Amino acid sequence: MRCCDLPPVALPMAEHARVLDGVLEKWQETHEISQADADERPLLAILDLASDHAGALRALYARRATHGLASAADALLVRFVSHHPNDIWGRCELALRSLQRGDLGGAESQARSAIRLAPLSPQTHGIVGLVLLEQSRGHAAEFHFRRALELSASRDPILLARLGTALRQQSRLNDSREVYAEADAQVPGNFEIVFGWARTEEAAQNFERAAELFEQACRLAPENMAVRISLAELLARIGRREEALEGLAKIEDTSGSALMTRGRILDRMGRHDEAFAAWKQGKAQYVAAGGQTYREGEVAAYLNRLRGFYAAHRLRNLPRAAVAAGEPQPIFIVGFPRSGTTLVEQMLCAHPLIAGGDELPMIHNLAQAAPHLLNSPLSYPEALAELWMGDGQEGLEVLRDQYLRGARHLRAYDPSRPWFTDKMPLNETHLGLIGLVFPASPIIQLVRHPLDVVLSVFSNQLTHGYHCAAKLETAALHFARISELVMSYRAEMALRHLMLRYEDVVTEPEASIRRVSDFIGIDFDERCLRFTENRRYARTASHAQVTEPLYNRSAFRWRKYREQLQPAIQILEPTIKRLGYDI
Amino acid sequence: MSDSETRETPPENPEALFLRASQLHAAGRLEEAKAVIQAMLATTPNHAGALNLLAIIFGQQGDLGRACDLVAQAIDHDGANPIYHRNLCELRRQNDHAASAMEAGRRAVALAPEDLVARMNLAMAEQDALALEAAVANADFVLARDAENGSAHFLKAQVALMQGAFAEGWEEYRWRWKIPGAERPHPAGNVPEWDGATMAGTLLLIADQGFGDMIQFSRFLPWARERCDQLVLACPRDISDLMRRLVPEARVVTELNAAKDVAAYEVFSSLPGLAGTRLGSVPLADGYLTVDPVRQSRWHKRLAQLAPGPNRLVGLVWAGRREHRGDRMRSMPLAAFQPLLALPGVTYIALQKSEPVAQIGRYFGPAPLINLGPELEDFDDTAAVLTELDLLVSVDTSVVHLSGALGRPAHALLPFRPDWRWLLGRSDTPWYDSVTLWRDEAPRTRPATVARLAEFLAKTWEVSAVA
Repeated sequence: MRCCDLPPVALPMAEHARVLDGVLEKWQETHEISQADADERPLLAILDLASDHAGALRALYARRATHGLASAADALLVRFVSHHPNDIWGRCELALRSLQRGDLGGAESQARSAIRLAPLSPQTHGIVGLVLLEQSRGHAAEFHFRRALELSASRDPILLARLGTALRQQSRLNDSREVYAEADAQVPGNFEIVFGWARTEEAAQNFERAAELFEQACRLAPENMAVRISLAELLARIGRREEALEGLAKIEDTSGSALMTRGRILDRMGRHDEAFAAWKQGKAQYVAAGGQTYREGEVAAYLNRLRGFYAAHRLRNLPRAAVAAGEPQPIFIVGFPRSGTTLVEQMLCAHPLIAGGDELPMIHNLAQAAPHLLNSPLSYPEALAELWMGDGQEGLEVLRDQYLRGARHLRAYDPSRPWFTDKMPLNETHLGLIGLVFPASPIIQLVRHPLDVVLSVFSNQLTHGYHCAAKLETAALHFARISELVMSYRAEMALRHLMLRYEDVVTEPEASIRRVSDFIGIDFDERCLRFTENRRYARTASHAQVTEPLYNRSAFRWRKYREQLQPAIQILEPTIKRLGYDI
Repeated sequence: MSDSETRETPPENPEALFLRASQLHAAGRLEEAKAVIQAMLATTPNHAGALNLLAIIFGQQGDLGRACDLVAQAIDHDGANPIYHRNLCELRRQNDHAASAMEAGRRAVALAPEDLVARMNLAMAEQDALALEAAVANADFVLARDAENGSAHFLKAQVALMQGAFAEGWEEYRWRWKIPGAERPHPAGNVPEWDGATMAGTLLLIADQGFGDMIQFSRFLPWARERCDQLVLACPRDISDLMRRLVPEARVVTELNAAKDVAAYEVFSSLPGLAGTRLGSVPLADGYLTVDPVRQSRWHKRLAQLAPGPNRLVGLVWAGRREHRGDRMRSMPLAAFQPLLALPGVTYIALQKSEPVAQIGRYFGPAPLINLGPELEDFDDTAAVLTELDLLVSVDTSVVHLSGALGRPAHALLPFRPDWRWLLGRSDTPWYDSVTLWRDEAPRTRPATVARLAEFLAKTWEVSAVA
């Protein structure tokens, strides 16, 4: 009760607070926060008397955080912020803790509050930048890091390193390299700088240099698992697979990440049984470590609601948003993760009329925000019923503008190009919403052999699709469900929709891109076939593959895993046949 | 051991079960009848009567393949019964196997030469196989013994019209109301039928049969308008605005009983006969219907959103109403359009309505296919869309008639035995200048017909199919 859920009480009088301050000062003089057996009774006594006492809350929070009691620490921090909403430290700390937990929305809210409180603080700008980086919003992050550098009137090397990441996210790899070099010159041998720099070199396909930097980062932080896995992945990519495997073998990992990487390398080496075993073990580790899994019932209920709402008789009475005049329009590239959306996006982005928007979260966000934006007491999709109201007629334009605003903020489009891509996988879950809000936007749906998709999903750690990738069976189940949902959307409504088979793209790229160009209504451009010359950095798991020339070794890879995939085959057989593939 | 446990219920007599099943079937309780028959066949699997009854039930439920198998089994056990042969003839015909239907029909007729039902079944199978002389001979045989047999007259009407003998055809066509189950629409009260002559007072014309017939025969409305003081048209709401624009001075009602004080009436399908239409005198073959400009503008914008690229726009309809008697022969699955869907540079606009729309969800072909069906409210919408398309490809549905009546280009895919209005052997039609006919060269050869059309379009457009 003292630290988690104490109700607010009347504030103590100022003179009483001063007495309590004295108690705290005395405790701080005689105790270390990190001291495990420190006597906490004075701190708790202060909070019993004054539950909002800032100093005691901070001290107790620091102790809980230091000793790994995360939920208690979080509760204390939330309590601190609720009592002291204008305290910059509290807002910043809560933003960082939210970021650590992966709560990007919460982190952003706290970071923005901090910047409102202290617009001239380099620290608050640095934190907002960090949150934006995590959201892959490199352009906005760059602004805040540059502002932090300007306000601090220094060239803080860590801020520079983060600026380097923001630049990398925007594919400005030379600029990124320059700031990393500057930061490294100031503080040679800093892990964060070296690791980030290595990633920039990898993105620029300077693989040897990247390997050197990764190796240096490994030496600087031998216990850091992420850098060692990154090194292994890079080594495998440049053909030093045995070396990569040796490096991975030395990692003591309980999250499953190292095993997943190991499996992918073994797969490339043709050691398929070992590869699948590694993935299976990796997934088991991930689940055992508390990783999120697929909530079957919840997802089924949501998908059924979507299917129920987007029915022809209802859609006939719904308006469609007008095209926003003078704004570039999205091209939606949809498909299950690992079905080739990144590849097709990279090819299309080489066209001079198309800007690369990458994975944009806005369609998902629109669905979430629709009730609020449409002033509805219902949740999505039922909130769209507001469009039938006399004052709700322009609701879809509100949603459209919200999306375009988001795209602008993410620098997803280039005003000089009439089109930009949005290739968020599984956006097909919201084909209905896309059809209403962007009726004139082309939707290109990638289809690939379901077993290849499920195998690839299973061999990676993906959060898309409600964490269906946690298990082979749930990946297959989600694939089948989404396939049914797409079938329903297409049968119930008019969509500007084109199916594109991944296997056709890799075997007949020119014919495929010509078909897509005709569908979009633009001239075919040969640069689309030379897309590997495009050094745009895509922030997805497929990036390493799409920077290589087209290859078709991934087509029908599932055949090498026929036995292991039996549980998925049982679930997917009707879907596979419907999609026109064989088993 | 109790008394009840020692006594077993004696199995019911098979003949009693058969009687019960027959009664249930006659009462329209098909599932119950089926259950009783199936229980009976479990103990007496060779009961020909039961096999025949079960075949009829499956046939009524649309499982024609199974029905044919069952009645063939009945014949295996009792080949001397002509009823089984005549049933097999009709089931095979309905299942689009006219040649084998004729074999069964001939056996039935051989066993019971005076069985007029067997004769008619055989005649209809022969008509489906385009053995028209034989079909007419059998119809004449029936008429010699039953001069008012509506089915025989109607068969002769269809054959004559199909052969272009319109004078004889229209005369026989008048017998269509004598077909069992056919009901001539008519207004309340004792209103006389119109004889086609100029008349005083109000003439009521009732749109009858399917939408395709209504559209096809509506070309005679201006002709009828000239022959009466006032014209009232009774038609479904779906086509009422099209009719209003065709005859602006007519009053259009969508409820038959809303037409009052009429001096005479007739149905649309009688108009070509009344007008004395002959093969060379079909009026308005270059088109007679017009599009609502408001709808046209709306659909122009919608299609500019959905299919703005350089691709040709081709409308697609693959199925008609399931209730149509010939639907099994005319409708086809969307997947069967594969050769067309492999043509590059085309965006297909599905104008399909009703249950077959669901097939779009299972379409994964190379060409974009935009499902407009759910947004089409009535034929005014469809007409407006047709004017935006480069052409239409459709099985024999009302949309072909609409396209032709608008003067828009259309390719109609016809079964081996076409409806009478498409005549025989020609790729054009006197009814619509803008419609080209693609006929199956033999029964169930639709894939080859689609391939021929695809080849023709590829050549016309100078493109090659996508592999």
